[in-house]
Amino acid sequence: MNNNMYYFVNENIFTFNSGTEFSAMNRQKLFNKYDVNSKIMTRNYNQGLHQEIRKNGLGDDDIINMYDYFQHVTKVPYHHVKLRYSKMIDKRYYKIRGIDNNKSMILLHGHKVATVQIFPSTVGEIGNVIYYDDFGNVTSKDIWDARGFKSKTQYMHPDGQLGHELVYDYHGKPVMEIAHMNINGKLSPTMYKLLDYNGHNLRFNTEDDLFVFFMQEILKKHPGVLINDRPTLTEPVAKVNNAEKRYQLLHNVQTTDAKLSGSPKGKLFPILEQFFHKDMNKYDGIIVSTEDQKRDFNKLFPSLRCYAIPDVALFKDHEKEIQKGLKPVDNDNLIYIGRIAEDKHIDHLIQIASFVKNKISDVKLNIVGYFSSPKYQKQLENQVKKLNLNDVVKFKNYSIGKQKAKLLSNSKLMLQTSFGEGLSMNLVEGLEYGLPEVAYDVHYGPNRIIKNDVNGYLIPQGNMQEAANKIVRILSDDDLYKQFSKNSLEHAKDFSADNVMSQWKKLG
Amino acid sequence: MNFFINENFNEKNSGIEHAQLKRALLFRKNKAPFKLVFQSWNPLLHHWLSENQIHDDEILNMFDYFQHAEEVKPKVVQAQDIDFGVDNLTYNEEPNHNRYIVFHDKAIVGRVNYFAKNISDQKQVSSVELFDGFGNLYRVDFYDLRGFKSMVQWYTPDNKIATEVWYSIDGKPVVESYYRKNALGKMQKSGWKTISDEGTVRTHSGMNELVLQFLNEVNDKYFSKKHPNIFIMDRSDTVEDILPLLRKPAYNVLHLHNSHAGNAQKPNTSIMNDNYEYSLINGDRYDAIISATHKQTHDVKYRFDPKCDLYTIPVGVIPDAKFKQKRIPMSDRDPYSIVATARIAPEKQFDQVIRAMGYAKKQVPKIHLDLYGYVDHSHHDTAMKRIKKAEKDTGLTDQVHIHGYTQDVADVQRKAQLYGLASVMEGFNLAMMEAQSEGDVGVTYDVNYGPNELVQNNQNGYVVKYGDEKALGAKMAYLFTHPKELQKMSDQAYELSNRYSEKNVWKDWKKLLDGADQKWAHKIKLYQPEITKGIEQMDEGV
Repeated sequence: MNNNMYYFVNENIFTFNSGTEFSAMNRQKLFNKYDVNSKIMTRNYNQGLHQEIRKNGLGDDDIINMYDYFQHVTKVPYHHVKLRYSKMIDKRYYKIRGIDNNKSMILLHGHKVATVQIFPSTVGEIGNVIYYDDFGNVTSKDIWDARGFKSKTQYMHPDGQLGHELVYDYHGKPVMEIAHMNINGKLSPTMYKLLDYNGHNLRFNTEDDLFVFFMQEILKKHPGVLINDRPTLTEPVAKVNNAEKRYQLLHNVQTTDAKLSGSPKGKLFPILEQFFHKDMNKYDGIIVSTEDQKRDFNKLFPSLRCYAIPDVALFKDHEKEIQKGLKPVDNDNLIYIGRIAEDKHIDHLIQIASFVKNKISDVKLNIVGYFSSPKYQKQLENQVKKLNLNDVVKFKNYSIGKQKAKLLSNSKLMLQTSFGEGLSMNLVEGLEYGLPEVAYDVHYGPNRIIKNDVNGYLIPQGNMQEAANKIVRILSDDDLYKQFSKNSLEHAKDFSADNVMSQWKKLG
Repeated sequence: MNFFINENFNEKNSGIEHAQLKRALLFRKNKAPFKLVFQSWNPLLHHWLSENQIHDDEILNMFDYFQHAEEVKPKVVQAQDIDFGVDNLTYNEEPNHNRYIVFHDKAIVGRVNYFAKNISDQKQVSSVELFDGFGNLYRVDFYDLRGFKSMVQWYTPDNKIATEVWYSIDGKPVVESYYRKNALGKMQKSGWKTISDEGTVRTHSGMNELVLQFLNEVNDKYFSKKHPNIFIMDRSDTVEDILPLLRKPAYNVLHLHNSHAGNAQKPNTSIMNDNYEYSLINGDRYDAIISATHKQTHDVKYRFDPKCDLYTIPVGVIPDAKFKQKRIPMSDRDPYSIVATARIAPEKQFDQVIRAMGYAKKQVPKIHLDLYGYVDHSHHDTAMKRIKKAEKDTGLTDQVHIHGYTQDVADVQRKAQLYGLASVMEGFNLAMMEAQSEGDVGVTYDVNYGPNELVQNNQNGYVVKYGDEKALGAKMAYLFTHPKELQKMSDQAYELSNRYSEKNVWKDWKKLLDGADQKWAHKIKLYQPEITKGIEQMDEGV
């Protein structure tokens, strides 16, 4: 690999992230480990961005966000601005009345003039400030950055919809104006204007136009390669005129029916049409996680260069783990980690748990992640109730870092029932905890991670009874369990940082 | 610091502004610090004041203050200087509309409006209408004549103003106001916000609260234990209720510029002048009341018995230079001439001056009147209709000349012999004072307040019973037929003008300034400074 900078293009790092963001963050750590210059490059405005990347073990240098860049705040000190001591409120006139840990009211002569939302995961730091007029309408809203400065103000139209936005530098000077007006009768952002950028104003019609300009400005300063993690950003990345190279990275199976992913009859996910139908030729290639997917692309799109590199790398020292022997497991905890979403078929997980319970009465299933919607949450909770699994199935909050590690360490077996994957980074992570794994044998990934009858079982898609049978078999045979567990640890080496990095190095 | 509080200042102003200007020059000459305080946003404020020889550092406008634009080095901003953030623009000028339409390809990017020729002949930008890439007018920027973007209006998709933002000179929003529908569904200003340099945000429900914040900050900034800040309310409407609310003490003064009574002929009993009703009822909350005439001070004391300090300070000042000028004898003036320089409005009752002339006409056939001033066409042109009728009734149509406003008032006064007045009421009447300083002999009704003090009966003119046209006419006839008497009274007019010399008026102001200092010594003894200690964050606690 040369001295190029690698930019991992993404929309955002969220509070609740999906595989796309985890993969980018994992890759950033991987490249850091091998001293290859790289950064995650994000488009979206996010007041908590620097808090989130810290939570995920990354630092300010690991990310370059568009708004940060134009705000000149890519690297500014972290200040903990407490509402009660902030200069924002002149306490000679205004009273601060706490509502709860998340919210305070600002009162003038007993009249509510503002609400302050405390920054999430902080004690009393300013998050958002919502201002009211005499009639109780919201007039404007100050958005604070996690690092303790007022980052932007949103002004409402009289009907309450978002009007215009001013984005500030660290000292409160506006650097960008965003207008929200009508396009064909529908309120939309209609203008992004940079103010005094290198001495000039620059007007853009869309956020993506601005993003293209941003990427070009960054590449002018530090030339490099764009690796696009987000299909929504395929077009802007394609428009960049000064990238050394550009690649699309695919985190998932490409067709709505994963079974048809290798066939011309398969229907592409609409979000991928931009790449495969329009911009493919502007890219130097596509990166997928498995050789299987690569083979399918070679067949379907012969002109497209394709690389197979796992979208997750493992950093633990596996040799030691193995030599230390296997951790004692004194429970029958099954675990699923990932989005709790329809496409993951969580209802199958619950049904399987029910079948297992018939044989092993004290089995537990922890489903760890965030719900895709309140509706789906309700549906699943009803299912649990109906199957009388209240003591068996537990929904656990989205977890990262130590919390997640603890959950994995306390589990005995990993389970997955999605109908389509790019690789399944959670199954990969399960390997390094020595977990035997049971998953549907779908495109792509599970068969790359699970060796049937070696470290777990691949189950025909939808066969829940069979999945339950295999789980019961593993859990009720201690020797088999230990063997599978050891094999998982051994197999984890395939995804070691060394191995994954060596594949990255083959990227042309 | 001494603050003279007003609302706004434009090309055309009334007596209150003129009084302030005269006072400003007097204070400047006597090296007493002062600021003319204005509350309205006005992109031409400094322009008009500078035309009246007022310096930037003598102006304190509320918006300037928040915008850090009190003293700005003027810059010429023209259409080409506006940075739309778009390349390849074409500018189509529409000189009839004082504007350019700016295009990129065929799409409108903006309209640049420039100040008319009477303000600037350099096509300096006055406002810019901005369009987004989808053809929406989303904002209008207003420029100060000094060459900076001062206020912007953000629009709604249905083309109404949603938010107004005032910018500091370095481009930060510092004052904002919002428009929302009221209970009747009408768009109305519904709130204000200010943002300080330190990031302190203050919300206000109305302009008055904003003014209070402004005055509090000004009072804090100039606070001194030696001398009080003196706030003189020349226009009291927007400040009379908030000055007493200042956090730190100050010396607050109500300045009467007109009769306190609705019927100036019945000062002790008639309904109060609505301009002063609130402030006089609340007279106990101020430190002093200034009247321009001894007569009014006397009447105010008699009627309200206020316990605050009462001062009489003329609002007119005759510059020293005036006294050095050569006096013009009556024989060198236009014979049988009467002049008046005033707004031609119903309450000035110039028709009665004409009717009085009608009585004098028999003895003085050549008697004639020249009126200089803006015609007030309000109330269906009542003033002019009455004048025309009086001309017709008296047969003086050819002997009454109505001129427009003149820049050189002194010149027309210097050429005339009499100055005639028949007003309903007055606050002082600067024009008559100036006419007397030019040697004009005053003939007037006994009108409160001013004319009946400016004119000392039988000395520098005549004061006749209010409404007695016949008596007024008789005095005109007498003067025009007795040249020696006329000359004697003209000499007295020059002499008695000394009452309003710079030296004498400053003496009156000095009395007030010294009185305020004396009172301040007591006030400051009772003053408790605000708490500044122990309230900052001192540990890690929340």
